[in-house]
Amino acid sequence: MRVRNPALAVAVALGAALVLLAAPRPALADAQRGQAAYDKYCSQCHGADGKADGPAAPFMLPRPRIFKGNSAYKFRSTASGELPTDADLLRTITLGIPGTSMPSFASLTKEERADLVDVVKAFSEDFEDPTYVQAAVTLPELVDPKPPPITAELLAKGKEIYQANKCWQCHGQEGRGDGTSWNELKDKWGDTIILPANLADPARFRNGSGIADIFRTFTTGLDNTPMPAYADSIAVPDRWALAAYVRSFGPEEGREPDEVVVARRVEALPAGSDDEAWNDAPRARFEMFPNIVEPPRLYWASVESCWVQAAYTDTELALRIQWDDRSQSKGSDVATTYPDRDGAIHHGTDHPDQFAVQFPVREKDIEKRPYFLFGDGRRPVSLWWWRADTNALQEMNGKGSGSLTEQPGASQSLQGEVTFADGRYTMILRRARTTPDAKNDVQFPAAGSAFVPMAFHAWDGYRGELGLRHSMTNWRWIYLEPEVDGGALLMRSAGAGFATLLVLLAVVIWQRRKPEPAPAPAAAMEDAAAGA
Amino acid sequence: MSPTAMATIAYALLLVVLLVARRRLGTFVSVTAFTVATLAYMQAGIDPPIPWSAMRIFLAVFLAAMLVYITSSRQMADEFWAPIRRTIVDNRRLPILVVILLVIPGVVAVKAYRSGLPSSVPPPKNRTVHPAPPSTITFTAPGATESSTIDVIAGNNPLRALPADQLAAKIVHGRKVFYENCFYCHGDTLAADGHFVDAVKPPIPATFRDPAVLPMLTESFFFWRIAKGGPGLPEEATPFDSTMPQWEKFLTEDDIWSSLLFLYDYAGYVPRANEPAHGAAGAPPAHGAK
Repeated sequence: MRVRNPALAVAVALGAALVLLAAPRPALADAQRGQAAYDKYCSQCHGADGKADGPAAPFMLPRPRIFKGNSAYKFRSTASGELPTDADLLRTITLGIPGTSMPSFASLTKEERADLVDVVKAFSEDFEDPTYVQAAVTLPELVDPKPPPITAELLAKGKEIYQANKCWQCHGQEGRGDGTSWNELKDKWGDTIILPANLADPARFRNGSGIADIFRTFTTGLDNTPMPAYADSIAVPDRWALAAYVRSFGPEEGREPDEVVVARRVEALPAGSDDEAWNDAPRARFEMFPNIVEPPRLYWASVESCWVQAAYTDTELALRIQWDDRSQSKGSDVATTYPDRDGAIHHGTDHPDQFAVQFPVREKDIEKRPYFLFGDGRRPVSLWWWRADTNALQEMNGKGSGSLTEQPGASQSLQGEVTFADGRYTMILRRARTTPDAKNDVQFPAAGSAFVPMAFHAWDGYRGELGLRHSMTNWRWIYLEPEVDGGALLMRSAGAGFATLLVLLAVVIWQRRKPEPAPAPAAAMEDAAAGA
Repeated sequence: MSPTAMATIAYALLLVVLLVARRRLGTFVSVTAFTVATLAYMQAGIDPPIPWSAMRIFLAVFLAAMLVYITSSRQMADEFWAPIRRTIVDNRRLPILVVILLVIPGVVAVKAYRSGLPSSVPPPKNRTVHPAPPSTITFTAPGATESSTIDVIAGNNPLRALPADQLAAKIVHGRKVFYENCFYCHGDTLAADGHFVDAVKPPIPATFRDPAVLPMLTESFFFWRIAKGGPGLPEEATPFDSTMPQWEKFLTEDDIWSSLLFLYDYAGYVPRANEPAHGAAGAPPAHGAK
C-alpha cells in the first residue's frame, strides 16, 4: 500500500501512541507488581502463601513472621493490639530487623517497597476492617519524637524506672537478657521460646538501636511477645529516661566490629578479672558466626560476639575475654550427636559451656595462616581451651576439626580463671610469652615485630552447642604494641623539621644572592607587546 | 545527584575556567591550581575511593607530566619559576616567605612524629579474588561412592540444555538450595550482606550483584569454587581465611548447577562463554561421569 500523505500517517501513529500511553493502567498492575516482588524477595522465608514456610525458614532464629491470617506485628507506632500503619511496615521492610535474617530492602525502589506493604496487608482481612484501620494511628508521642539530651540525671532516673518496673525480671540487672524469668517466655502461640533482648548488644535491637527507637519499643510494646506496652503506665519523660538508660548498657553509637586487639606493655599483669588495670586496656569487639562450614552445621549462634583485652610484660601475656551467655551450663552431657541440617531449637540441653582462643603455632604461619577452623594438616594451631564441666584450662593443638589433641602435662603452662556473673562470662588467661615447647605453643617473642593472628570459638551448652556446633570468628589479630620513648621520638621529629628548615634557608640565601636573570627574549617581546 | 557526579562536574567546570583564563592567571597559578584540583578530585571526589596503591602510580605519572609541561619551553619554565623567585627575593613578600619557611618544616616534623608512633592497622590480607582454576576436578557428592570428573575450563552447565519447563523447575530448585545454604553470607538479595557477614569477613563473600562477578566468569569456574570451597583454593587466594564451605560435602552436582541457574536468573546476567581449548575446537564439552 502506498501512503499518500506521509505527514498524516505519522500524525495518526503519534496520536495512537499518545492514546495508548495516556490510557489508565489496569488496576491489577500494582498488585501484580507487588506479588512478583513478594515472590522474588520475601517468599523464600515468609512462604509463597505467607505461612512462613519458605525453604530458608527452618534455618533461622527468630523464625520469619507468619503473614497469613495474622495482623499482630511487633514493630509499630500504634497502641498495643492495633494494626501497624503502612509507614511502620515500610520501615521494617526498608531497615530490616537487626540481629535477624530479615535484611534491609532499601535497595528496592520506594514504589516496590510500598507494593510489598500492600501484599503483606492482603494476607489478613483485619487490614480491610474499617474499625481496625481507623484505630491504627501513630501515637502522638511517636510523631516526630525528639530525644532529650543525655545527662547523668536522666540516666539515674532511667535506672530508677528500670528497677521500679522490674525490667530486670527478663532483661537482668546488667541488661544481658538473663533476668530471673528469661527462660519462661513464650510467644503468643506458646510454642516458641522467646529470649529477652540482651540490652548490652544494641546493634541487634530488633526495633532499632537509636534512643527514639527504644522509646518507641517501650511505648508500643512488641505484640505477640511478652514485651508489654508502657504507653499507659509510664509517663513520656520517664520513658525517654528509660530509653537512654537502656542504651547505656551497650557500646557507643556506630561502633564497628574490630579486627585487632591492641596489647599494651605493663609493669605487672592485672591481678584478676576485675582488676582496675583492665580499664586502661583497649577493648576489641569481635563478631561471631555459627559453624555453617563443616558438618554438623549450626544455623544460629548463642554467643554472637566477644570482647577481648590484652596486656603484656617483658615475659608474660594476659588476655581478658568476655562473652554473654544467659545460662551458666556446667553440663556433663558430651556424648549427644546431632545431625547436619538440624533446624530444631535445642533449648535446655545439658552440654558444658566452652570457650577457646586459637593462634597459629609457628611464626612463619602468620602470613599464610592455618585454616581458620581449627587449622589444617600442614599448619597446626595452638588452642587455649576452657570447658565448664571440668573448669579446666587446657592447651591443645589442632590440625583440622577432626584432629584436636591435648598437649602433654609437661607442656601445659596456661594459667587463668573463668568467672560468671549477670549473664556474662569473664575469662582471664595468662601465659609466658615464650615457652620451651616451641613446636606446639604459639610464641610472642618481640613486641611490635608482628601482628599475630587470633581466632575464637564459643559454645553455649544450654542451647545445644557441642562439638562443631558452636560459634566462632574468622582470623583476627593481636598486636603487642611496642612501648614508645615519647621524648626521643619528639627530639627526632624536631630534628627532622629543623634540618628541613636549614635546607630551605640555604635555598633562600642562595637565591637572594643570585643576580636577577635577564628576561627570556620571548617574554621580553611579550612584555613589550603588552606595554605597547 | 551523587557526590561523585557533583565533584566531577565541579572539576570539569574548573578545568574550563583554567583553560580559558590560563594566560591571565599565569603559568604558576594555573599549573598549581590544576595540580591541586586534580589531586583533590582523585583523592576525595570519587566514591568508592581509589585505592592508595593506584593513587601513588597516578601521582607519579601526573607529577612527571606536569614537570614535562613546565619545562617544555624556556619561556614556560621562566614563567613558572618567576613567582617562586619573587617570593624568595622580594622583601614585600617576606611575610609569605616566613610562613612557608615555618609550615614546611612543621609538616615534616609532624609526619616524622606520626610515623614513629606504633600503628595498630593490621597487615593487609592480600589475596587473588578469582585465581586460575585447575583444569578438571573430581566431584564426590555426599554419601556417594562414585566420583565424576568436571571439566572446569571447557565444561558447561548441563542443565542449560533442558527444555524450558524443566529449566524453570531447576531454577526453583536452585533458589531453594541458595536460601537453605548460601544466603547467610552472600545475602538475601545476593549483595554479600548476609546476617553473618560481619563475623565472616575479611574476605567479604562474593557479591553476585557485581557485574564483575557473574558475567565475567564461566559457570564451570563457579562449580569449582562452590564444590571445593575455601580449602580448595590455591595459596594466593588465602584458602585459610575463606569461610566458603566445601559444598561437595553437602550438595549434589545437580544442586550446584541448579543454584548457578538461580544466581544468573535472579541477577539477570548470562554466564561467560567458554573459550574453546587448544586443538579442541568444535569438540563437545568434556563433561560427565566417567
